[in-house]
Amino acid sequence: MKNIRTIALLCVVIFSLVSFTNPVESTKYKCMIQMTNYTGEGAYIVISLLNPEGEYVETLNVIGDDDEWYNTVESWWDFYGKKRNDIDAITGATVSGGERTINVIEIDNDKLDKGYKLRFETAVEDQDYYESDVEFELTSETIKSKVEGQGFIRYIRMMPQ
Amino acid sequence: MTISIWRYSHLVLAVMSSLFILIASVTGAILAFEPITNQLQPYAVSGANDISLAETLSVLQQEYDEVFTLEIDNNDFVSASVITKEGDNETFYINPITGEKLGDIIKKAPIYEFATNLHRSLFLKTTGRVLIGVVSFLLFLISVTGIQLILKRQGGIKRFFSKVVRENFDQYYHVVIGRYTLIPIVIITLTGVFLSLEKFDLLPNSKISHNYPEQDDVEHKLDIIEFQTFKDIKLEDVNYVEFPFSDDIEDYFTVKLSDKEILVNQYTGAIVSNQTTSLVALASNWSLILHTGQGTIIWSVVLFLASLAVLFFMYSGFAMTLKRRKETAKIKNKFKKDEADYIILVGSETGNTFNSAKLFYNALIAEGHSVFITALNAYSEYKKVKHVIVFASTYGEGEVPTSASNFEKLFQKVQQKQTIKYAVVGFGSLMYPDYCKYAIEVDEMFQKQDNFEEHLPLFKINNQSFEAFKTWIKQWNEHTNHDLKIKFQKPQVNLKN
Repeated sequence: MKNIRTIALLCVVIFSLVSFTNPVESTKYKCMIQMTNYTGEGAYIVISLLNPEGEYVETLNVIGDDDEWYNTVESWWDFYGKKRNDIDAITGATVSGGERTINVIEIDNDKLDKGYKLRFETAVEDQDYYESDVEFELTSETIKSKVEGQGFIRYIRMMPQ
Repeated sequence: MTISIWRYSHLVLAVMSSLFILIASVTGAILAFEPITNQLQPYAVSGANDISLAETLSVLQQEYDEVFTLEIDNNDFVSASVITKEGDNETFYINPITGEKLGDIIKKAPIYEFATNLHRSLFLKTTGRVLIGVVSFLLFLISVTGIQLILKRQGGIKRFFSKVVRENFDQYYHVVIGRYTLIPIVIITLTGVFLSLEKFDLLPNSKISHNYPEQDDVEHKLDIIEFQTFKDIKLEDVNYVEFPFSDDIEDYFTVKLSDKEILVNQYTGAIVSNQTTSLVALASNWSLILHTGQGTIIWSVVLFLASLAVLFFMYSGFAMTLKRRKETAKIKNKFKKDEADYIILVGSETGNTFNSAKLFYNALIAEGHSVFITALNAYSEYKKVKHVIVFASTYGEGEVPTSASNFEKLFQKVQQKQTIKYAVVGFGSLMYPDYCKYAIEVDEMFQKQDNFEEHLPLFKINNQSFEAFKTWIKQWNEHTNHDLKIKFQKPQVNLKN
């Protein structure tokens, strides 16, 4: 009797695991970041996905290719710095004041309208650090909108690819 | 007098900044190869410069799902950031005529990455950047004082490139190489300073900001190939193009040309905003090109040679200084100044004249005479003296040599008690118009003072010639009833004639 129960439980666990590893549909989004006209060094910008509890889930894009400065993006560094996954594929060149950059980021469809958030974190050498220069909840609406920044970012614009 | 100030600052500046200059020139020499290797990559397409921007943009639109940016670097390599037909976001070099991919973006090799970092900030981030900026300025000052020294030595601007008197290897090549590399070094250091100032935000803001006028809706969308604006722009004038983010009429093409930045309506091709690049931005662009050699192999080679030259200057400069110090410090007098019958006074700039004077000193000592040798600047009263022999060189344009800078004043002040015989030997070079000018002046000073009596007439020696020196010794022996023998070591002076 006890055995059957455990087997049944195991089945449920295995089934759920298998179903979760099924590929989740994802969509690519075009994302433009327009910087303010600040002066000085190029900015380091990290785009991360946060879960509803505000914890880092995934690094979506890193703008700034010299890892010497990654630790200046403090909160993200706490998350990324320990594991240091390979982010070469999602790393782009730095942008300076007045410039803009267009990147493509990929977000799983099931993260939409579930309280997940998109965070744009910025840091400039010897200047400020903004933990959430831009931060907004991922909804089917916000994912194609324009959001104003608080720090080095003037605004960001998103558009499904 | 002035000469020693220039030489002194030249040396002090060099000592202060030597370690940093060493690092900067070694890494600089390495970095000079980066633009050369880049330039040799096969990504420049011939004939691409003459086509219009309209052609390239339109071919890109056909070739790819979407285009974000187009960039043309100093090597004339055209790169584009696109979404391929397979749906991937990629950036690579393209052929601007056909639009097809030529190769992946050159990744900076780790050695250049390392060298750049060391060259720019010594791995000390901001502190290092400040240091390097300051050192760059110091090297600029060293170059300026160096130019000043060459002018003095050669005797004026017109003679800047005339023959250099060869005293020894270090001195000769320090001057000869210096003449050819000082201009590039001045350029490198000034652009380096400029780039530092820019990094530290000390230049006026040069960022362009556009006005964004309201746009009226248009019904008909022109093909990009029909845009008159883009037809009129040649690809070679373009630095960067950014495609409109969306179909919205208020999203524009941003086109950066060498002298201006324009916004172009994506429906009509009309110029919406036109801002010229500020002088500061142009200057910093030129500084970057001149400092890094991007895009030209020849200038990169010049930069490389200039870096090597700096290394050579450091070596030869310090070698000369050490030698000069050693030579002037080596005088060990056997007799005190008031015991000596013979006083040898030396006016020397680089220490070579000291050598000749020492040969004479040794010969007198060998004959059992009491001799005292010192610099002209240490002239004073001598109680027993019978003979004063002056060895005086002349520097550059008839300048007083360093170790005699104060002699004229002293000579007027000091009164010798007895009558003294004097002889002046002048060292100089016939390549200068003011040949042995200082020796002539010294000879005149002695003539004018009553208790001095000419023993031998002024004798001039060209380029430290040993033959001439021997002739003078012969004259001396005849007049003085001496039999001095000069022990010639191997010639210390290479005559390049």
